[in-house]
Amino acid sequence: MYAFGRKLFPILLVALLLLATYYALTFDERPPADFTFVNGTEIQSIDPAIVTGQPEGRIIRSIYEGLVNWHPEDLRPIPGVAYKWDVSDDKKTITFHLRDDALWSDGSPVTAHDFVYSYRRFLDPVLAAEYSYQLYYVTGAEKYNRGEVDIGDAVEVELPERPAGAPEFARGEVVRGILREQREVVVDDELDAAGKSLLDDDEQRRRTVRLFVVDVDGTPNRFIIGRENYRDREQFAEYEPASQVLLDFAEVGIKALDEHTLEFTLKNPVPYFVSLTGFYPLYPVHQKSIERWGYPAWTKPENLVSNGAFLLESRDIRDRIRLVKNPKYWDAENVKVNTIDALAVESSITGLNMYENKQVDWVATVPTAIVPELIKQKRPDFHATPYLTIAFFRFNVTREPLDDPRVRRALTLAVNRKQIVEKVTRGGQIPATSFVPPGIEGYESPACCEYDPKEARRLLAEAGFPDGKGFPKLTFLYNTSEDLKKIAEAIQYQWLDTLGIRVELINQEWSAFQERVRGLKYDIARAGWIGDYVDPNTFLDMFTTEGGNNQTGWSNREYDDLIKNRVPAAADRETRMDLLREAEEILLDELPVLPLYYGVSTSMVRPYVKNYHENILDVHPLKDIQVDQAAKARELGRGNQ
Amino acid sequence: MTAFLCKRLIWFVITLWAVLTATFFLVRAAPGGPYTRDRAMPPHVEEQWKAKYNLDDTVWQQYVDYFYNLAHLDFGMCFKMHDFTVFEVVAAGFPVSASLGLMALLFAIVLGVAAGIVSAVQRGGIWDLSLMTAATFGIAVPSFVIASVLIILFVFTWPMFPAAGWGRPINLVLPAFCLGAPYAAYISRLMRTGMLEVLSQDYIRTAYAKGLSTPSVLRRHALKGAMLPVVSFLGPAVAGILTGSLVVEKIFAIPGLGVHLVNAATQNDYTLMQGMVLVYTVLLFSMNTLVDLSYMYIDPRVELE
Repeated sequence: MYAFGRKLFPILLVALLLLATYYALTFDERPPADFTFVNGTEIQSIDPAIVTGQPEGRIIRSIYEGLVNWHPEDLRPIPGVAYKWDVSDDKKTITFHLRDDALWSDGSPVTAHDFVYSYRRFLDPVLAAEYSYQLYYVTGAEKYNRGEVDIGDAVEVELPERPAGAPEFARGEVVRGILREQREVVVDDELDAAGKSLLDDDEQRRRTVRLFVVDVDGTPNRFIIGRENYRDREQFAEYEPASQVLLDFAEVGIKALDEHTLEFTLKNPVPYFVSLTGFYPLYPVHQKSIERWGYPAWTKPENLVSNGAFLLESRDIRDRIRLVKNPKYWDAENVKVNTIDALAVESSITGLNMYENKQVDWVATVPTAIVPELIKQKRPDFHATPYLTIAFFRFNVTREPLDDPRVRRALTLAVNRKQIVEKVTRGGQIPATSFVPPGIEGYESPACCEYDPKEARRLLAEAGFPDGKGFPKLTFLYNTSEDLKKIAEAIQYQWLDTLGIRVELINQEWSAFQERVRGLKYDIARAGWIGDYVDPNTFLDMFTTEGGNNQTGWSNREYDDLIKNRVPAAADRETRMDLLREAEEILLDELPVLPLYYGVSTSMVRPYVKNYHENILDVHPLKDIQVDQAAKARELGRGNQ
Repeated sequence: MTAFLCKRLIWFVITLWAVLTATFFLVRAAPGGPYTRDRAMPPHVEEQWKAKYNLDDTVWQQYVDYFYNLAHLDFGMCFKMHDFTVFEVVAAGFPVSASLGLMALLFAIVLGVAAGIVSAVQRGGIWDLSLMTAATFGIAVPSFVIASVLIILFVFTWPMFPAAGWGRPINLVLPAFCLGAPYAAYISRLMRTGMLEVLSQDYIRTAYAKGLSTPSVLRRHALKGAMLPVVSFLGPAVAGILTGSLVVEKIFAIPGLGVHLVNAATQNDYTLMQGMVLVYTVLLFSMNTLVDLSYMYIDPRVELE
């Protein structure tokens, strides 16, 4: 056996290697798509409700369609699934009229009920949609999403079992009634002598069961929510297990008046609400296929039912997503591209290489290091467009000496933004003179933050640190990145040069950085914000006292009142913009933040791609794009591959 | 041999358990969590999110659940790529990494062995000198530098290959070269040394004395003995090629496993991280075992125990 094996071994090995090589070199080659672009990192999901981020947006905008679309140039809402909409006189009721010819890819019509289903699902706490707050303008939506219920509320109780005959992944049976009682009990709590719990918060939460009494058709029913091992105790025997108790969705201001009419009732007038329904998290999903296949099977190309201009043909992880034109789309005759490849390319330099090698027609982001060179070369296919973003620093106002507005102002005025933009970032960014970037129609930001070394020195001296003497050593925190490091070093030098103060630079990986900023464990930290919709509110509402993205410790009662009460209640657009401006004035007066520059979006597009437009949200609907195939063939003929 | 394999199997199980346990606690000790996002998550959303992925259980409960699921071959859902299970991610990435690794390895062996033989036979000659200089470069220069130079030369200066991407055999050439280059260099040096040693043996002189030509002496008598150091290097080479592919994968946009490993770690994707560690452990362990087994067939002096 041994000797035989030793003779056979080399032959076997070579055969095996040949076989493996054959396998390695066998590819299922597909014809190239009409239009290929670099989409950036692998997308998180194709479920519109749960994703955030630009690459996801580009795919979801192509395979689904919302009530409205955005005009590719000025972003005003244009008809999508809804062909028209009416706004009531008090501006709180918005009615969308859906077109008859909007179809799902399985041939069934897209109805108002589909939108009600999609929005209920989007707001369901169990889905944990990050963007759910976008619907908080609708009455009852926030309460429903937070899972808060009060005595006397109409509530819906979801039971663990599905109703008989329901699809496998449908929601549990729902019982509706009026909430009469609710309380929480910590099971097996361990108390010390003073009656305080010895358990830590996490353990207490695990042991908490919630008890409800709900009047269903006049008879009280008892329900219990909690972990099985606690809720199944004998003491709770008379309580029926439930998965959740929420505000009755009928109380939420989203109603299907009939198959083709959808009505929203808002808490306050929101001028950009119609536009918001064109934001991709608010796109509809197909109830039947979700309930039939469950997660994640319904997202697979073979099961996915969608209503957009394109269908998902295949999806290879971290390789490509292939889209094909949807023949059932209502506006199919105006969709000019038949197949699209969206390549998942992690490195933007690789993406640019592929573009330069003519493998792709569009790269959605250009590596920042290359941008100055492209600007210098005046490349006609390079586009840099103002983008609704702001790069800024956060000051931790809970720490000395940053609690002194004079110090914050001194640090802000000592930054030479022009120099940063022209010598450091060099990507066409614009020095910031406000917190809300320009480009929002009807809104003019108050001016601020002009480079003024003299005034900066005076303010610092006034705060008790003449020429920076006695100024404690502060740290500047940024997340690890070469580009940010350059900016940090430039500003470190500017502060030293102008004010005579030293800051220490600290960089950390992204998630560690986030933890520190959120926990207010920093002095000064870099930050950036991208507007979700074209309104100053998307920038200003984060600095309310309890705003989750405030993260500076700053709190101003007047500011809170403006953002939370007075702006939403504004009678007309002009007053509203004035109030927002007033809020920004407070922000720029107190400066818990240091505005640095407004960003630009960069991309490269081959000239044979037509109907590609620039806008301040960097949104480019693929349904509008056309490719001049003859010109493309000519251009590729000169190149290679 | 059976005893050898049994012993290996026991060690394999112990190693796997230790590695997975260490990973399990290390990823949870890292700052942040899978629910740390660019924008702060409202607390009630974060709570639901934790519940969805069982992160609201005690760590010990999570640990027990993990191994329970693992025993049932359930590797869980990815935390970040919501539409895929860990199994799907591995199933999609593994063949890609395997193709790339195999081509790199083949390339390293063919080029390395050929260069080693030529150098040994031409010892001190111009071929020896230039090949060994090239080998020194190959070992010293990191793969991303080789990649950049290759892209400048063979993508832009003389357009022969695509800049990046996947889907056609031609996509494999540049990345396989970059990945295989340092190993080709090592192998050529090992081969040269091994060959020189064998060529100075008495039995080679005898073969020459019998009147055999140089090619047949090399092929029949010298090659096998000289290959032994190369074979023992294959174990670490396979390991290095498999785990070292992440840079090349990123530069050439190849959808293999390497980038998943890095992303899982930086994005706190606990389940994917565990899955990747599991895959790499199994691969490395089985490759090393295979190399050990192959000794037995190549060199009769080796006894496995």
